Formats: sequence, C-alpha cells, structure tokens
Amino acid sequence: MSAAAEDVRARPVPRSARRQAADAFLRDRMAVAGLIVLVLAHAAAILAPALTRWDPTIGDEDGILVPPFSPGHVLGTDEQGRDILARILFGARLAFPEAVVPVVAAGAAGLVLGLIGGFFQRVIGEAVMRTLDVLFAIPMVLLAIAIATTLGSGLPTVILSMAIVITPYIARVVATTAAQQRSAPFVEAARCAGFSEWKILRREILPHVIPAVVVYGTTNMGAMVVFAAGFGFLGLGAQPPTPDWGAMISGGMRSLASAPWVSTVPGIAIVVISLAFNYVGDGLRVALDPRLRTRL
Amino acid sequence: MLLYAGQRLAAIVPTLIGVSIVTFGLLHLVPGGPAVAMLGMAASDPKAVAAVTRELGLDRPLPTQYWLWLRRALGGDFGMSTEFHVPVSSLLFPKLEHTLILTAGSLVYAIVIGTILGITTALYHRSLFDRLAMLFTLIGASAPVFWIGLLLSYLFAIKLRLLPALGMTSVLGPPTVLSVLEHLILPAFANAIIALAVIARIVRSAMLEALVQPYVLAARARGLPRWRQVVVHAFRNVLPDAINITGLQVGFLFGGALFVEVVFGWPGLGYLIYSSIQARDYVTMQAAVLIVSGVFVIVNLAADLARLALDPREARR
Repeated sequence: MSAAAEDVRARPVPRSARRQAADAFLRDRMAVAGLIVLVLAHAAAILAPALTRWDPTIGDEDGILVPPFSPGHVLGTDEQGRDILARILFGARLAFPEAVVPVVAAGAAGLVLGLIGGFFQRVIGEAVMRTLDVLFAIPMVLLAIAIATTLGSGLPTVILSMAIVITPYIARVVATTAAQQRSAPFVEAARCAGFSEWKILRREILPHVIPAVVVYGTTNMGAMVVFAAGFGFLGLGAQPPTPDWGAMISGGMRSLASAPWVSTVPGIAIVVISLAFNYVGDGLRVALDPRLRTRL
Repeated sequence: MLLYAGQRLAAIVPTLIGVSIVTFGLLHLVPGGPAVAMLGMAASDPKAVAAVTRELGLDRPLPTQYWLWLRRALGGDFGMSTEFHVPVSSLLFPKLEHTLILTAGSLVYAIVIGTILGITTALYHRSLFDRLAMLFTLIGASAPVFWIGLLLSYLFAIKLRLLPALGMTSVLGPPTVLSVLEHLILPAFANAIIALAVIARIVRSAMLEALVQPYVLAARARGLPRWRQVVVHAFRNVLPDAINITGLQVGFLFGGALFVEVVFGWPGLGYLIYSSIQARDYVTMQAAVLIVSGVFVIVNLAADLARLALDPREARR
C-alpha cells in the first residue's frame, strides 16, 4: 500500500450538507431549547385530557378565583372557577394550528406570488408586486381584524385572515431573494449551459429561496401566536367557552385587581411559545445559510 | 432629489387607490352584501334594503358602485354608523385625534428609548448589559401588547397607585394637557414596547457595523472625544436606517393602539373599532381602515423623504 493511499483514507470524510446544517443547529443551545419547549408543549396539547382531571369549560362554583399553587389547582382558577392549567393545556390545541397553518398556507401562496414577481418578472410579475404593495399600505393587524370581522368569528376565519395578511410579507422575501439570484454568475452560467428557465428555477433559484422562506416562516410562527391571541382578546377567535389564550387574558381583565393571575398566566404561555418559535427560527437561519455557518 | 421626491409622491396615488378598492371590497364580503352591512338590524325589512340599494346605486355594476362610494368618501361621507346611528365621519375624526396622541406618545418612547438602548448596547457589545437588554427586547417583542398593558396597569395603577388606570383625562375637573399626559404614560409605553425593541435591535446592529468603519477610526485618530465619534460620526450614518425602520413601525403602533385602547379605556379609534367588532358595525370599520391606512401611507412617505434628505448617496441615485 502506497503512502498516498494512506493519506486519502486518513482525511476526514466530508459531511453532507444536511449533516452540516443539523450540526450547526444543534450547536445553537437556545434553538435546541426552543425546539424542546415546542415539542413538549405540543405533546402536552395532545395529551391534555390525560394531564389534567379538570374540564376546561366547566367551572366549579365553590372554587372561583382560587390563587395559584392551591391544592388541586396549580395555576389557580378563573372567575367561573375553571382550572387555569386545564384551560392553558386545552388552549394549546388552538395555539399551535393558529401559529402553523396560516404560515404554511401563506408560505405556499407567497412562494408562487414571489417567484412570479421576482423570477419571471415581466408585466404580470410587476402587476403582482404592485398589488402586494397595496396590502403593505394597510396596517397588518387592522386589515386582519377587518377581514375577520367581515367574514364572521371563529377559528377558520382567524386562520384565513392571518394567512392573507402575511402572504405579501413572505412574497416580498421570495421576490427579493429570487431577484438577487437571477443575475448571479451561477445563474448566468446555467443559462449559458442551455438550461431551461424551469430548470434554472428548480436547480439554481429554489435552493436559495426555500431556506429563506423556512427561516422567515418559522420566526413568524412566534408572531402568529401573539397575533392569534389578539383575535381571541377582541372576541374574534374561537367562541366561548372554548379555551383560547387571548380570550383568557381578556376574561381576566375584570378581576385584574383582585385576581391578577387569571390574565397573567395565559400571557406567560404566549410569550414562552412565541420565544421558542423565534429561537428555533434563529437557529435555522444559521443552520440553513452556509455563509453564516462558516463565520461561527 | 426633488425629482425623486416627486416620483415618490406620485407613487402613493396608485397605492391609495388600491387601498380604497380593498376597503370598498370589504363591505361586499359581508354575508348578505353591502346593503345588509349598511343597515345592520334594519336589514330585516326588505323595503329598507331596496331603498338603500337604490339610493347608493348598489344595483349598478361594481365599478360604478366603487366610483359612487369613492366620491362620497372623498367628500367626507362614509355613511351612517349602524350602531350609533350618526354619520361615521362625526364619530371617526375626534377619535382619530385621540389615537394620534397615543401613537405619537408611543413613537416618542420607541424612538428615544430604542435609540439610546441601541447605541449603548452597541458600545458595550457582549457585556452583561447588552445581553440583558437584548433579552428584554426579545421578550418584549414576543408578548401581546394588551398583556403588557394589563401588567403595567396592575403594577403602576392598581398596586402602586402612581398613575391612572383608565381614560384619557381625569373625570374630576376640566381636561388639561397635564392630565392627558399623565394618562398617556402607561398606555403609550405599553404600545411602544415592540417598536422600541425593533428600533433598538436595528440601531444596535447598524451601530456595530458603523463603529468599525474607517471614518470612525479617522475621527478617533484626529483626537475627537468619544461621544463625538459615536454620535456625530457613527450614529449620523445609522440615522437613515433608523428612520426607515421607524416609519414602518408606525403601522404596528396603530395596530397596537387598537388593543391598548381597550385595556386602558382610551377613547380612540381602537376603542371605536373594538365596539364596531362587537356590534358588527361594518360601515364604521370600513371607514376606520381607510382613514388609518391613509395616515400610515403619508407617514411612510414622510419617513422615506426624511431618509432621502439625510442620505446624500440615496439622493444621488
């Protein structure tokens, strides 16, 4: 066996791109912690009936506004004597779909619209981008609330209106990324090599656009948890007595002076889940961008 | 520069037309159509529906309807509120003023605290102060404004009794500027938190970049005091970015005001929209969306022009 062959074998095997991304994500302690929180909270939402013996919709008249850390009610009860922990757990069953579904739907719509605007451009692309500009001119929260009020309250309406208002934001991320890549040297090279526009899109553009959408979308899921709570707070979300974190906060407003925990506890749940999504999004940003990764 | 300013000014016309089409369309999404939306409870009477349909031309083609509606809206006629039975415009404009006061208060907090926080955290990069401040801004940006409002209200108004919890002026005695300011402190701060956090983060990262630029080194080499290097040489270059992001935050401050007004009983547009939601008063809602969006577009234009005036490189392009 020659010395040269030895050297080749001694060299570390280059890791796959996916493996490198996973390693970068796992090195980010806050991102891993965020992911663990999300997995645990999701599991708790699924296992809610097994985790609490209280019904989240039926109150106990003898135990209204019980403070937290009382026997039987770890997080206390609300003005109707309903166990707050039970309502938080069952409320998570709404919070997760409200965070994920609008972002996934808007991600798909934004991807198509953004590519039309940023990659194919031409007249139709210009028309799409100008139309989206109009939606930027209306404050997001106001537009979403106007749509939801018009269509009537309820979970599907809330999800639909959130999806509509974040679509322009995602489309803009896609369009700017695609427009930047369009004139990049490797796209020129692909064009010279005789690649069709579709092949360029699939092989050269999408690998840049998809990670950008994933990162932006994940970070936005945190914002959607807060956003959805706003709908619940205004009475536009799931209707009572369904437990909803935002509605729980507004429900506790009247007893704020005597029982501040009724409003405080659901807010903490919102902050924790929203932060967790943000940290996971940050972790993905570094993991999915090889340029940021090597700088570490 | 003037040419560009003119272009920007002209560009808001199609945007405003687009906004008006969207808000016009809202009423057509109401189950039962615009006539039902405009009549509210009275829509059970087919004669009333027919009368409104004829009066507003709702039986005409959509473009004609839009044109008729736009002409009335430009003349200040937004229709009658189905909840309060008065013209929407008489309801809207006094409330708009109150919301602008709240938004302006929030903007002052966001700009002053956000900028100071951004500069100091950049100067003490990676210190404990930097880490704590960044954690605070992250938590602040991840929390619902109404929840922050309730916490502040509980702590400062209910427990410590330092500030009023509700309203815009004191019910005792005539309304004075001082009493409005006193009532403004808590709601404006609650509403400012997210914008404050965003501004602090943008200023911090832009300052970190600016502080290592050759022009700051040159200022240092010339023996200028540290504050001059930071404020006059580094921050001056951050200013266009800061103004840009601040303009974008105004929309979120309007959105946040909606919730904060409910928590603090602030008699503004947000409170009006909140009552419109409860009462399904679509006409008031529609007008509020139109007016707030108009203000938002103008504020962004102003921010854009200010940025242009401050950044000669942009102006030359």
